[in-house]
Amino acid sequence: MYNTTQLRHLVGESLNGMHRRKVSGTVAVVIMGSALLMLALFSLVTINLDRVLQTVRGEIDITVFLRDDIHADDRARLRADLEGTEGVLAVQYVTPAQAIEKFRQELGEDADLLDALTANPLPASFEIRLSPDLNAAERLEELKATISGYPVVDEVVAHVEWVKRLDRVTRTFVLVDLLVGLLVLASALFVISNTVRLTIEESSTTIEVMKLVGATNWFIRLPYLLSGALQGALAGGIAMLVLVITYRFLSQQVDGIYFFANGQMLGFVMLSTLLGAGGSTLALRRHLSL
Amino acid sequence: MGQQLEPNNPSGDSAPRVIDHRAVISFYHVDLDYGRYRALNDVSFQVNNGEFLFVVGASGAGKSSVLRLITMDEFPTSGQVMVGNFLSTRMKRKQIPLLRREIGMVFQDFRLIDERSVFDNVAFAQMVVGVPSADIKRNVAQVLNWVGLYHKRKQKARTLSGGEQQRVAIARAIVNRPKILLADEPTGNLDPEVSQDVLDILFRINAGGTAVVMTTHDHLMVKQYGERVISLADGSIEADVQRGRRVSPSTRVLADRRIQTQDAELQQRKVEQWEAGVLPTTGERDV
Ligand SMILES: Nc1ncnc2c1ncn2[C@@H]1O[C@H](COP(=O)(O)OP(=O)(O)OP(=O)(O)O)[C@@H](O)[C@H]1O
Ligand SMILES: [Mg+2]
Repeated sequence: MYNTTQLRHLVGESLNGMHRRKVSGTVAVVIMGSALLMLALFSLVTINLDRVLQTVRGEIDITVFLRDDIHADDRARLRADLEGTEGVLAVQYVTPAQAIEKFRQELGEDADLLDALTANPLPASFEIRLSPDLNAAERLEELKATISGYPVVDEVVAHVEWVKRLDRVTRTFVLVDLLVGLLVLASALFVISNTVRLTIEESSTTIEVMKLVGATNWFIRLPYLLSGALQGALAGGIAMLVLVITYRFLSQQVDGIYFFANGQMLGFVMLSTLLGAGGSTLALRRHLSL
Repeated sequence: MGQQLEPNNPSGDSAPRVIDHRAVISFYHVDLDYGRYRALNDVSFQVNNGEFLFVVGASGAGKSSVLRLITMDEFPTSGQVMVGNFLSTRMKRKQIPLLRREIGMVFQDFRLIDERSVFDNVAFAQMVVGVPSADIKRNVAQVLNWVGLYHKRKQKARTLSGGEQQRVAIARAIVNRPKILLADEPTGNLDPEVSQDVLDILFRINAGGTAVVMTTHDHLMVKQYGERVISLADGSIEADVQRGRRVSPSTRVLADRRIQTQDAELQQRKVEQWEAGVLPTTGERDV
């Protein structure tokens, strides 16, 4: 397609261009890197917050206190009914003895308070674990009402109010997250396309001259495409590096932070590369009608 | 474009010079609108191979527009432009670079790449079209010699004077040996003496067989040298006058002086051409 002179020119121009535009090129990489860092950081925060919410939701359960006079058959029937209910992950029977033992453990040092008791005041109960995605507040309320309807059930404890609040928090989070995400993405794209545009405008004379002497559009575009891609890759790499270092540091303080897998990091750098190349193409088309 | 000739062949390698007198540029009833503004109105003319054409007119008359139509930066709103074998009505975007390779261009503002050397600026034009490096070296040296700037080949373009920059621009325009040279007010930023120099170079290029179209609003210059002059007014051709070129004695002296500074072979060739009447002399083609 191109002969050796032209190839040498292309490679020369790509490298030369970067050399000539060293300052603006560095600035562009740093700015792009910051924009990409914001984007990556935002994704991480989102993923982590989402996981926290999921965990909290995973801990929601319903405690069904049984009447003292419950018959074993009724209990078994109730258990079967509960296990067959949609959204119920697991049902566990807790005997009064187990309940008091658990209570004792929860009290810890103050456990000797229980020694004052002559009889076990705690009833037997079912502890129901719900699937995290099936316990919106309404569903929980519904479930609570159904279970309360059983004559063998003494009391149902479900933290409906708390779940309602959690629902609200989740909904706000999703909304705000979406908005901020769009904002971050839009500003990242804006910043990237503008920095690329600046570096390209810097060489508008060169481009004009190339058109003048009959260079094909691809021949003009290619060096910018290559250096744009390289800048994107560098910026993405730097953003990832900053994140990895921050993560290493943070994970020593806090446990259980979710971080990108290697593949995801690679994907991110590749995406940045594409953004760099795409930014150049767009800038060339928009500002130099190439 | 019919007969293959040797446009601006300064060192004049072999081959007998044949000038093809067929049209290299034709405008057929060309209108050009920029939005609602009519910049050119029913413009028709032809430029033959080897011709030197001045296009004059007031600012805004449409001179640059005519050149942009020739390079197909613009296309006629109606009518047709033919340049070499390229027809504006059948032009594909991809062919535009090919057209540009047959046209050299010079502007009032030189349009050099400031931070690159004189040599690189000229070599650029050759790299783009893929001339082998050894040939690039030779060709660039040749044209730089020809415009009298070989000794400044290593300087950055921005360190040159206006006149020198324009000579580099001309060298760049002709290094690929175009059949057509377009010059849009090439002397517009230069003082009279330097303008004379530049004009002289253009004449010599033309003498080598390249058709030259030059715009200017320097009426004095046109009066003095105009061989063929198209006057534009408000986008229409007001007059298209053909007459002999009058070369002033001072031009001749200037030309000779420059020739002395160039290599002997070139000088010999130019003198031969001059004597053979290829370069028109005073009065020769006066009407
Ligand atoms: N891209 C454009 N869009 C709109 N109008 C334009 C455009 N280019 C030129 N014009 C108008 O067309 C007319 C002719 O412009 P042109 O550049 O051809 O004039 P010119 O004769 O070269 O003038 P000058 O001597 O000042 O260079 C002018 O009135 C100009 O304002
Ligand atoms: Mg003009």
